Amino acid sequence: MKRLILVLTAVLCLLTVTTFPTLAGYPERDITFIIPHGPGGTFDTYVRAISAALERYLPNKINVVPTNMPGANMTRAITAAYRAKPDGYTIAIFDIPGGLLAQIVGNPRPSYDLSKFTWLASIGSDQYGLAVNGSSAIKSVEDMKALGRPVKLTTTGAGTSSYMAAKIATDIMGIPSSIISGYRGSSEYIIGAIRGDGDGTIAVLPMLHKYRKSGDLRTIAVLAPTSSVAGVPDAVRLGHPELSLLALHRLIGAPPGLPENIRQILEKALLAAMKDPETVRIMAAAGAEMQPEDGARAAEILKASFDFFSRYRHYIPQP
Amino acid sequence: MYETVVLSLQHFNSIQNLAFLLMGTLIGLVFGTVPGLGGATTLALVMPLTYGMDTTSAMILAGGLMGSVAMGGSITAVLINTPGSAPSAATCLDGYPMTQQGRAGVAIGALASSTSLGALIGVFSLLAVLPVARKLVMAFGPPEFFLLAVLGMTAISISAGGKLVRGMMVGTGGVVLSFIGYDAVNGGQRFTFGSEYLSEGIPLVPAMLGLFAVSEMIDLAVRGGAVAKLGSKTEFAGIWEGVCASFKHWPVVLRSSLIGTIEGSIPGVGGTAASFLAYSVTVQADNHPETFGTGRVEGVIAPEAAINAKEAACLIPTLTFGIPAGIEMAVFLGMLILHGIEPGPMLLLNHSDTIYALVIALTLSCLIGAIVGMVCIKPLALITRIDVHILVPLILAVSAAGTYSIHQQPYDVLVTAAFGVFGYLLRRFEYPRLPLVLALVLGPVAERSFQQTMMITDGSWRIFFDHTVSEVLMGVIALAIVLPLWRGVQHRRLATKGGAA
Repeated sequence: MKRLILVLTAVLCLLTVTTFPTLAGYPERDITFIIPHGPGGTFDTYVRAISAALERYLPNKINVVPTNMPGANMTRAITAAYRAKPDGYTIAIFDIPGGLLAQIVGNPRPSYDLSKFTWLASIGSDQYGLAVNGSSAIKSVEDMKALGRPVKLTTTGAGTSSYMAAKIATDIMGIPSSIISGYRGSSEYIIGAIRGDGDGTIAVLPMLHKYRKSGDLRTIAVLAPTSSVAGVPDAVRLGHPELSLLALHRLIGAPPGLPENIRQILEKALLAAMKDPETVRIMAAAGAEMQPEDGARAAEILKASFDFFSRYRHYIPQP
Repeated sequence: MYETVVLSLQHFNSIQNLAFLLMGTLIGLVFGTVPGLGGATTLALVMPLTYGMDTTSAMILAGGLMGSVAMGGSITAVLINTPGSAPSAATCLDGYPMTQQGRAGVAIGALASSTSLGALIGVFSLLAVLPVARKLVMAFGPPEFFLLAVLGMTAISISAGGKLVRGMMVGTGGVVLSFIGYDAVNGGQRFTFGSEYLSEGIPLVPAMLGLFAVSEMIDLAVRGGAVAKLGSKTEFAGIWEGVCASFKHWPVVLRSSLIGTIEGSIPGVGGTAASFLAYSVTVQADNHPETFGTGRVEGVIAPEAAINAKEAACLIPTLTFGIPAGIEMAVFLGMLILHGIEPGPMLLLNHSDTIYALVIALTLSCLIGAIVGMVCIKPLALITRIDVHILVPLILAVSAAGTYSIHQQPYDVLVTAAFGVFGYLLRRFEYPRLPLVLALVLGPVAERSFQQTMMITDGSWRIFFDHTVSEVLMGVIALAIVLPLWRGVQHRRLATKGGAA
């Protein structure tokens, strides 16, 4: 009898311990928010601003811990998020098409499949713009076409988002191009364009706006459905509306197989955190604008991006 | 501009801001000693704590931290051959041999004074250069980066100290190792054998920790005893001698600070290259280059002056273009955003007093850090007296933990261990280690910049002769190659004459 009581007590204790988390409800411990880049960049700023607000909008008081995981052209971070337990305690921000390109090439096959992630939200997208040095004789896309030689654009390494944007945009617009690749980030290739390493560069519009204001760069084409720069043609006016698909998306996802109830909690809290006035203020100071959208829209963006960039897979260097 | 500097100085009248400055300095010093943590990570860790603080106070805290973090890493580099960050690895080369000879006090004194002088020169350069900062940043492009890297690598031949073939062998091996990973220009992976880990190349900090700290610990374990060689006396009174050494060798301080200022102000070369370039130029300019690596005080002064001059100079591209010159500045920009300040070309115009407060904090922090370092040298230097049976496991554990803490990556620890064994074998068979470090640091810069230069010019080499800066750099490279050869011939001639007499 004594033995039976002991066993029952032990079983009861075990049950209490194992079922406690379910009774307490999600979330009950800290959430890791993976950033596929080092500290200090735009992605890092987005995550740090959202994380602080997210803690306020989750049902329980826990910490959201931004974790920088740079390296291997984002593969390291994406793989870590893909392999994490789908329990709602690991979420990640994704740079699309950056993370998508390795999957499109498929050689070597990456150890993740982005389409299988549980998508929670989209922070927003940045359209690209084509810009030249502020003192350049090139004033328009037509001038670029009439150069009589391939236009030289500065970008990061071959196969990265900015390199692909430069290759695809010039291809669509019929501008012969030669890419000066190898800059280690947008800051470096923009300064390369200002210095005159090349004729110009392609970068996301918020970045270009800063240097347009200071006169260092001149935007000559806005690769978006409508132009945000007075007197500069947009994708429709250029006669290539498909250029609008060339955008840099920031999506938030969780490992595949995340239970629906947890997904809903996270999605709701993330959307509220992105609309939080403090988050909006911080991001406005960083020169970034957010267009919060739900998980379903994030999945649609991913699919559209995959289809678009698959058409230009020949520009991605093969190993 | 100078009125704003005076205005910014008034921020330091408040006890609260002075406390933040001291706090930042101490945090920097302590975190700097932990291998792998570095300035960027420490700043990122502190950043959320500044939320809600007054912006200027936050900048003062950040300045205090940024100014002293390198000092912490250099103290451990001198005392136990364990650099806190990659740039401090250059200080190991002569600083640690000094400790082994019982001259830790001189080394720390030289480190403290050169750090402070470097920071002061850096700040004055920053203030002097700001009106023409744009021109400076614009004068250095891929051709100049390539030549700077080549200039740094010419030291391989000299630092090999009479073992030229061995130095070239190790240097070539280092260049080959630097090819591993993502090809930053053409995309794709090289020599990774399908390993995801290797796709970012050989990680620099784990490799340096292995080459310096771990290899030394293996050597100590084999040799026995303590860091400070048996019979040598750790002379703390040497601190003053060390402090004076920086003033005595003022051309080294000035030249290295200038190198630090130039490298810091150009995005694209990286801070690690600054300290190694300053070291190698000092070696090349010396009459007895073969004695470097055996405990020459100039070998401590040069990298330290460069590291701290670079800190202030990093602000040049940040202030003129809103472009971070390095990872630490990128985190700092993140901090500005958190405080509602928009980084960009207008930063200096709109928030000048806050920025100058940061610059002043950066300088004061170097001075405070140097004083704290000198005051604490007595207890710190006792580390060098610890018996090998206690010290070796302790340093190995700290190195492993430090390496792991960078990316929570177990493979980093393996790299540290592998480079530790390799470094020990190099020592054991008298192959120089500096060429390997120089090649690992400068190899990728040289390769990338050369490829970019060829892309810019469609394969023409003319560009090297079209820019004044590249022409000057080529002249310096030619001198760096010819001078030691000429000196060698002179020495041989003198020796022959002496022998004949």
